[in-house]
Amino acid sequence: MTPARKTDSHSFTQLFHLHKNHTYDFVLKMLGDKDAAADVVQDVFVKLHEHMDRNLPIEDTKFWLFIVARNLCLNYLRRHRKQQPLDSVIDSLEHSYNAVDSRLSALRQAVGRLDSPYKEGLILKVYQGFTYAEIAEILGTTVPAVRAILFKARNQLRDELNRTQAKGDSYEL
Amino acid sequence: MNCEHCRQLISVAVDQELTEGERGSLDEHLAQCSECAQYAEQIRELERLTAEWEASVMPFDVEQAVLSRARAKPHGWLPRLWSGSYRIPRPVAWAAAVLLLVLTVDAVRGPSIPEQTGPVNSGPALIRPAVQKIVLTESDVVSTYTTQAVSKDL
Repeated sequence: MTPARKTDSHSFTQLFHLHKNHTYDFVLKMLGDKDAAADVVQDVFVKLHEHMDRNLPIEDTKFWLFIVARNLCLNYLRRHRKQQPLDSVIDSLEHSYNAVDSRLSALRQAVGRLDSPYKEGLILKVYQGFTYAEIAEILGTTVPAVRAILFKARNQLRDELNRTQAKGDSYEL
Repeated sequence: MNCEHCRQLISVAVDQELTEGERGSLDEHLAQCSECAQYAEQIRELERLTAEWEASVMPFDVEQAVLSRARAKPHGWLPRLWSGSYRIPRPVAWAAAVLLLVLTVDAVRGPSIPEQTGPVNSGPALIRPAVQKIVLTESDVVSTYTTQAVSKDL
């Protein structure tokens, strides 16, 4: 359990500039599509604005933003999974990043194919630098569960990359 | 320690969340098991690759869109309700819907007339005599019976 955190007393604009980049990076890595990320990240900050407008307490803005962003990303993926085949998601992923490095391209595709809790756990750990206890709080689970999630995420990622290599792409782990 | 447990600990080690005890057992196992040592090297390579995926910065147009959307939000619950951005809490909405339904049904059925099933022992004095008028006493029954008998005889 993380210690009690100080309540933020900043204005919305200050908080927005403080958290905009890591929130956007998280949402973009989760969705793999720039247009979708732009829509979702707008909803995240509009929710923050409404929350502050109603004077509702936020213990820690960064955590609050990641919890909201994660839920909105999952809603988006749930809504669009049925409509959009995975290959088109991968295409938009490549378009969003203008990939030139085949290894990174393979990695992004592999992350895009990860199942939901594994993708979230990996992004929160590797790219956002949260501790296991913090990830457990964001995902609403326990530290042992986070350990298992990250272990399985890495295994799935490794297998996916090895499959890509077996297909004849230039990447090798 | 078995290989499965060792591989879980390799992932924890990459995240720098191993306890001292776990570190000792992991090192011991890796020194003896070449397959797990190879797995550890693959995971470290994976970690180096994932680190190359750089962080994205929010584009300026998205930033402007967020700020203008937030500024466009009307203040106060009534303007926000009017604009559709304020959501009424679900229990309140349900309670309002049920109340509206009850009032509608009541209005359609019209005013209800209370049924009197027994003798009136209480109630306003103004109502009591009117109700008592329809209650037959023993003498009324006897007189009615007598009247009928007399008319039959005639």
